[in-house]
Amino acid sequence: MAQEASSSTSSKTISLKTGDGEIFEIEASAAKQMKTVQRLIDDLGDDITIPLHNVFSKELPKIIEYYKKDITGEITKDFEAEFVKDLNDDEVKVLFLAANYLDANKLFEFLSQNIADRLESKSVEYVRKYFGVENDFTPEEESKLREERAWSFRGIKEDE
Amino acid sequence: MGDHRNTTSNAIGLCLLPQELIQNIFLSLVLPEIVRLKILNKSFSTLISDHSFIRQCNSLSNSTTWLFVYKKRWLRDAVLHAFTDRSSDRWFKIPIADLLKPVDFHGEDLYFLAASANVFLFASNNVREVVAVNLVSVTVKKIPPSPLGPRGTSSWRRSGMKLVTETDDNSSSGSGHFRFMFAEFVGNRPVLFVYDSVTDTWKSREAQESVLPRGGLHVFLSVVHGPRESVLVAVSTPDCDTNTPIVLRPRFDSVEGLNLTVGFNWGNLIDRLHVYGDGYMMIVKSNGENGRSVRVLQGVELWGLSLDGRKWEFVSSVPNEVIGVIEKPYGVMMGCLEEKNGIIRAALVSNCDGFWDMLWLSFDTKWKRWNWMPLPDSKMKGWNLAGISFSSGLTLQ
Repeated sequence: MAQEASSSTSSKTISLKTGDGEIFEIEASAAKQMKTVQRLIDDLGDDITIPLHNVFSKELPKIIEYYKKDITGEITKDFEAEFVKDLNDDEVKVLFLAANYLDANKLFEFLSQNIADRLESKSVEYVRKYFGVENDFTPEEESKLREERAWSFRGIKEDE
Repeated sequence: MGDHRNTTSNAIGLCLLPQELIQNIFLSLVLPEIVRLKILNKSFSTLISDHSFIRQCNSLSNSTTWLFVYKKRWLRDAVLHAFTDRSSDRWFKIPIADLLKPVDFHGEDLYFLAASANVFLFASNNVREVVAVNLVSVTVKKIPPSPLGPRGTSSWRRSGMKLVTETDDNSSSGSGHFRFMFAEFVGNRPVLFVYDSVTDTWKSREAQESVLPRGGLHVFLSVVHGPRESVLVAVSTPDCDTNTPIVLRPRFDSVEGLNLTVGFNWGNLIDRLHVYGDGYMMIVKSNGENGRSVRVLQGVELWGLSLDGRKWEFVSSVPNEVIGVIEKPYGVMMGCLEEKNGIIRAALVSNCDGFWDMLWLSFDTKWKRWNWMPLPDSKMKGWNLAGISFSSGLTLQ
């Protein structure tokens, strides 16, 4: 393509290939919002199908949907609420990791807040499962910790 | 730290995430939520104790405003309730009874005066003392009586007062140093009293009749408010214990305002509740029928001090569509008001037949925009309110 193409990025589309071999199209201006993608474009050129080894066909369409709205300035609180409404906690996790890999800052920050919202007022055991960690405190250590923060806030809905 | 690029999409555990990603999620949580996650496991505890994380957390917390409400029902059953607009569907509880044991203060006797950063001030009516509680260092300290001598809670409730904490930008935690000040008539002169926690002493200075200097930051303290004229004391910060305080006597000219009525209106009593704070005044107007003890909110206006401090000037009214939503019958109402960084926040607390209702209102002076939020039910039917205050700047450690 002629070099003038870089000045009309608004109409150009980029092809992205997921780790499981599917190809999706995205507008160049949306691709710009994902710094990893943009770096690959800078290295490989915008004619080539950009390989994204760590993003899969389940997540990429959702991410593309988000940035489609972003470039037209249509991201509202209602859109964001709708965007995550039907996602379960694991699906949000996966999207969050993908946004991180793609260096897609706006989506990353939004999902970060959404995960925080989902963890809020959940039991400690639930949060452990979510992060995939085990409790490695001894009962004495744990009760000491609880005492140290005996002064700290307790949510009215909490039972711990 | 794991290399997340090697994981498949469905079996991902977030434990493989670099610390920074987990910390990013945590930074979106409010402080009490972060504190409780220390208990997840050892590496999370370390993650939360990381200095850089704590610094970022405290910096965010600086701009998080909390509303603290002290409620008590019977002996020793006193809890400080906390609410923030960042986590707006729940109340948090701070059990303080244990904290106060060393100073032998009893919950039933306390009044919550003020809060700022990690410092909370309570006054005891029985022993007529003030105690400062630091939630982070878990320390309790009695404040010596001011030059006016020991004061009961009714005197404290009458005074305009302010708690100012020193924030040290270089450290990751609050230093716990604070100044507590109030203004009161002595003879017929308004006097400013300032307590400094570093020297553990009070300083008092008589306020001078003078012009309010332009620019600079001030603390405004109410002394007395009449229907036509108020008396306030203004002092520049920092160094509020050495700067000369000034007397302001702003006049309130209701005729100048829009659509204000004082007094009676064809058999209906128009009630006006005035709430003062930080050089602003909120007028809450309600309709009540003659003889009935129930009122309905009719309008809320915000007034502020003129630049020269000589009069109260109308700032803004809460829009009618908002009034339409928040109006409901109530028996008694009170509130508190503060200004911080150009945003004025008010909490209006009303009680009807033992049921409490709370509303958080805020006005952005830059964008001239009102925002409002009804507070979730705090399950406090039948309790007594013993102090309410906004605060910000809680720190993690």
